[in-house]
Amino acid sequence: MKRAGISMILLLLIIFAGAFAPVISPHNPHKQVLSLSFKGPSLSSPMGRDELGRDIFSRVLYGVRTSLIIGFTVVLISVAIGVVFGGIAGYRGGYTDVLFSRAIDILMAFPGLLLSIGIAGIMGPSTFNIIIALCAVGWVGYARYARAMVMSVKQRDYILSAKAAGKNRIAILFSDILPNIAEPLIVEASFGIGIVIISEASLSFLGLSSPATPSLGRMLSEAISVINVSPWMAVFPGLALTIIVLLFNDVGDSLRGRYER
Amino acid sequence: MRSFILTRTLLAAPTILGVVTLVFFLIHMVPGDPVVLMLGDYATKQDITQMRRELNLDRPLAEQYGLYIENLVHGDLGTSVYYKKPVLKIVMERFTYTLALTVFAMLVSLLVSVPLGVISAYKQDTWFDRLTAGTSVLGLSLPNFWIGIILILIFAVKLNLLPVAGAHSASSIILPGLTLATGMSAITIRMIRANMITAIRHESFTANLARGIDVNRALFVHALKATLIPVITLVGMQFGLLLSGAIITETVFSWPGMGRLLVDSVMTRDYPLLSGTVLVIALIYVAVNLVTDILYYAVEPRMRKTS
Repeated sequence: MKRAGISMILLLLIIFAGAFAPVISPHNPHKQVLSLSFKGPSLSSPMGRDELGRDIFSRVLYGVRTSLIIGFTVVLISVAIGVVFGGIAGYRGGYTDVLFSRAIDILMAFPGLLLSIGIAGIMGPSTFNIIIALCAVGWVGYARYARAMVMSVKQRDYILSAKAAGKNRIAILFSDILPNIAEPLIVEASFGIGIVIISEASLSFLGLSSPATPSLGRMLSEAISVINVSPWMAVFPGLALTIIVLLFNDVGDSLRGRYER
Repeated sequence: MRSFILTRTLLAAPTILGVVTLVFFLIHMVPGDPVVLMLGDYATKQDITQMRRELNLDRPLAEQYGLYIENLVHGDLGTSVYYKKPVLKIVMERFTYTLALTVFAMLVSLLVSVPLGVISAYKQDTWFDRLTAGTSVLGLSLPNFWIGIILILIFAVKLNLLPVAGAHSASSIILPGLTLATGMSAITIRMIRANMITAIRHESFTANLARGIDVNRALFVHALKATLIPVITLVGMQFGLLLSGAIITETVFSWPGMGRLLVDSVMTRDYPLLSGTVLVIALIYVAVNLVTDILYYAVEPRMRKTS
């Protein structure tokens, strides 16, 4: 409980830092000062400067912001799509469910990021395309989850009584079933954000993000070729990424623990 | 047994058809004209028309789809625009590298996680168990490519012990292999620990000790055997994780496998090669899942009653 509280506070701090990156960051993340290129950490640039003399700390802050924006957006959209499709499949059963399960099988036949890389690679490098590529894969997990939950909830007495009272099916799905599956979905979603953030970093590491948007993955891929000159270019963005993901996982873990208790 | 293999294989058929169909549509998701994008700004009208014909993009969609399936059945995945060679041939050349990397990573991971998982379970809630659990949570949160970069930094740049990138010598496989093994080890340790705890609590374990069997033998031979089945499934499932992890790891270390090929095909806008590589990786994954299911069925007699 104590540890979960600390993780939560740290996570909120990071979200705050990301949200207010334009205010907090000491320098313009895009500004190139070639005379300062590869300069090590100093008071004015605590994480040093990169190849083009841009301030790494400011870029990390903006990168965190990008990670969080994409993380929350993708999870929100994925949960919404997942709940609608999974909910309907679980509630209606029969052919709808068979069709749904077949579609899921096909999407699950692509390991991990493969389909996202394919989609983002085809559509070209941009934040919007990364969001689409991650949602195309991300909704599946929530849909399966929602389907299973709805299937177990729909047999309960209060749903049967709502049905007997002549309540409309859609209304039952949204006002009676959804509130009862919301809590476990939120737990899943908090893990989901961590996964999406790593996936986004992976895609931008592979060069699938827009070069104009600072992102932690892209910073790391820029760092590889100059790693013997400037190790801090690789250390700090990766550290930021790891800490964020670790915190989301930890908060997810404690939420799950509390829910299951 | 035979009928199970048959039905399970037949069940995979619609999934494979779905995967093929989805990959077919990938090239149609290109914003704008894929042919113009591939040939670049300096292409002549003639070049464009010719390539459009070669890729069958001048035909109606239904016909394109029919031709695509027909060619696939004949093992024709199209021709790479960049390498000017058949896609299947290029992908197969790279396949060996990815296979070597994933198998190496899997072995390393099992070599690390089996003893750690078993000892953690036996010494449950001691400092050893907590340390292992903490490290595996860290291993799960660490992004693959960052582990790779840090390993490069330590072993190739600072200590100058191992090659940074490429596949020029046998030792080249060590750093990418370790990188890929980290994530898998984290999950496998947890799984083995959880299953071992059940096995240790089982009366047969106490009975074995009472019978005078050495603790190590009781743990690593008798109890471990009971946890083998979930581990087989896990290793099969992990293969997908390894395959997609390989895409990133290969890029970090310039390892010439299928993942690196996929990323290169994105960069060179070689759409036939891109879709072909995605298709091959997905089909390998489907095949591995199929084999895992069948193996699971073969070693787990209880499964037979339910199916």
